[in-house]
Amino acid sequence: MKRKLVAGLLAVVLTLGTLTGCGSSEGTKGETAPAAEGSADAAEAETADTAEAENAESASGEREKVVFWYSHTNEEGKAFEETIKAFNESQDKYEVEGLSVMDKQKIIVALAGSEAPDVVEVSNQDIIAYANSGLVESISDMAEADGYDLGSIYAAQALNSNAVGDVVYGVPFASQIIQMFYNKDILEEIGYSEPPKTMEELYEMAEKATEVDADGNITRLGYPLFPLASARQELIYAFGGRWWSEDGQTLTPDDPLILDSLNMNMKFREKYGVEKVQAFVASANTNRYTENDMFFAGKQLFRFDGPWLATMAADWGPDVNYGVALMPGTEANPDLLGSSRYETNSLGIPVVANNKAGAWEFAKFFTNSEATKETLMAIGNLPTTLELYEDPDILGMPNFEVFVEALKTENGVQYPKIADLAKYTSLIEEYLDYVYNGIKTPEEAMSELAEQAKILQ
Amino acid sequence: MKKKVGQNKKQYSRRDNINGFLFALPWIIGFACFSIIPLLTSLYYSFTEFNPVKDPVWVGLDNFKYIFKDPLVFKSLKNTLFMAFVSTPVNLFIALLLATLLNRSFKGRGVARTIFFMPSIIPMIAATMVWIWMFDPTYGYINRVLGMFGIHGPSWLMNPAYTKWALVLMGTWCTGTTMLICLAALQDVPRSYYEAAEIDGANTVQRFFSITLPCVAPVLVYQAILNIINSFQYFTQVYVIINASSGAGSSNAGGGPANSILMYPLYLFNTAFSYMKMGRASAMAWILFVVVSIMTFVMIKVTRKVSENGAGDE
Repeated sequence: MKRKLVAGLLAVVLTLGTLTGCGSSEGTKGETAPAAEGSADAAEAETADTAEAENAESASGEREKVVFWYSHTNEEGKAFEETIKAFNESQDKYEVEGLSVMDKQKIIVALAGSEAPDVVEVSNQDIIAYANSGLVESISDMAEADGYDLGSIYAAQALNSNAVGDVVYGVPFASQIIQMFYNKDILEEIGYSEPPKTMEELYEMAEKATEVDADGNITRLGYPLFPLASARQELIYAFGGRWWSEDGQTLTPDDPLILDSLNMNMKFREKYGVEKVQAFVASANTNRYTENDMFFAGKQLFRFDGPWLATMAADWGPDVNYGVALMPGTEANPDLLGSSRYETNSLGIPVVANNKAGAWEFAKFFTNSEATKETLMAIGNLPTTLELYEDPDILGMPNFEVFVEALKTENGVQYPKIADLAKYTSLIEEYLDYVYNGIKTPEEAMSELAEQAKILQ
Repeated sequence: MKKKVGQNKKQYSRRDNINGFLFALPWIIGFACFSIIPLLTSLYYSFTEFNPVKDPVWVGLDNFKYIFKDPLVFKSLKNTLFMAFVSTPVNLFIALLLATLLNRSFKGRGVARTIFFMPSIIPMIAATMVWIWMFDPTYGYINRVLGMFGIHGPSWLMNPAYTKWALVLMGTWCTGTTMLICLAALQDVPRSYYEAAEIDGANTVQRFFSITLPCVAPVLVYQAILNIINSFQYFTQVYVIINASSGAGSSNAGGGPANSILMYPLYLFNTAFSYMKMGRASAMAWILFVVVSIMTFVMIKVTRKVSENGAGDE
């Protein structure tokens, strides 16, 4: 009987424990319900309550807490912490607490729940995705309410890349673009003193610079076939080719200018052997951004890459004598000089943020103050504000003059704002691989890609 | 007397059942909360469009219709089936070969068994990173070894014609567990069979095909089922390879060169967490569940048949 009683009690305790576990999750669901339902009114009411509570805290003399999640670590993370410290010292109303959060899923779950930070630093593509899901506040509205003229502070393409329609959802902090690095010694060796301004010139130089061994293996590559992402983007953009229309709503894989780019690419690959070129590119890709990087080892004439390559070169290729020039255009379209993908790192304010006023103050400080410049210089990123385009310290950074010149051309290519962008990118890569491996002709591949793209939303 | 024992047993059994049930109740509730309910919820989600931030919207069969016209679904299924039906026999062959060799008596047998088993306990992510370097067409050891025989190795992870074969090759390195089970099966084959065969003049090959193989066949079929089911969950290796190979600015939601290593579970993951189509991903998961269930059912039937035949032969 005693044993039965103990067994029964234990079972009841365990059952209650389990039910309590389920119950707590129910409670959390209840708390997050307004945000999950996307009910603006409910969210606003909740925010107002929270703001009241925060203000009450402020009135009692305590600083209001602002939680900031950023996607940087190590030295870059330290630079972010320095800016946070500078903000905290610059005023006595808010206290920003920074946290490095790299996990995108964690961010999404947090933004959809009740554990969201007040400000989050992500890519502009993430900002667009969050905006489409109703997760981030309209920066346009906040700026208007504050009399903060976004258009006179940030570059137009920086704002556009964070906008859905005319509404800006992210405060742009750093610009990300690609330009052309070239090995000066190789260029001189093949008889040129200036980098190319058109793809036709580049091709001519590339052929002269490419070297093969007795077995036909490429030992030095002239044509900029890697990083792979550049082959998908900048090599296409340099010809004026676009994977989508200007309005970002129509997919255009059958753009004839894409075919021009692919045909030149294949001409080079077929000359040296598709398999030989792929072998070199595969090794280059495995070793990229290491001390064995082909560019640092002097085995690559042209390299389409970002400003971060200079920082890496200082560590791993101090002997490589390189220069940076604007991305070439073509003889038919010389105005395309400097064309590149354009992305930003941006600050978004979640709809469920506890302290939106503090978040907005911090976002302004972080993206448009003296501390912004310090952070950008520390992490080697390009500015988004028009003022910093002219800043001597920024322009004094290695190669930044060329990159800022490219920014000023506003030739940045924005990603389309379609729901299936990631899938479209995956399909583009698949069909480019068919072309680059000689499995399909550029015409066949792009025609099939256009067919496949029809199901995308 | 018998009746009394029976009555006691029955009484004790009922009380025991109640106690047992009460003890099991927390687990049953946990199982219902964390397995059954999510399972049924995912079935519901498969008929909806939703993501973590939007409430599900009923779309009927739209997700399934989309899946059946999505070329990447078929591509990923094809890649997965390749791994299931090419990699599985290769792995079984290697495992059986190693087990047969390691079943023989020789000095250092224990050390050899340990060495061949060790790769199975190495974390898959670390092993895959090492293999990426091994497959480097210029500096990798695979092509260097092939070069010694005058063979010009391909770009294993860049050329879509070779990527899946690279995975098959990688898989052979991790056959330790299967090898160990085959070894146990081999040790269960009665010595008397071999002695009788030797007396009848059967050579080694004949003994292997007439005695060893039929005796271990049920175990091999069972291993084949497990390997095939595991192939439908093939994820880590391709996820690591694709993420390690993708350049800056890449979507990281790709499937390797020409999507040649886009496995079904990876595509499911991309659909859910890169494309944020949770409803569609749920539908994909249910299709996978149905396909694996059918295959498991067929394989179990085959196993029974093989086992019955084995018993009949005896």
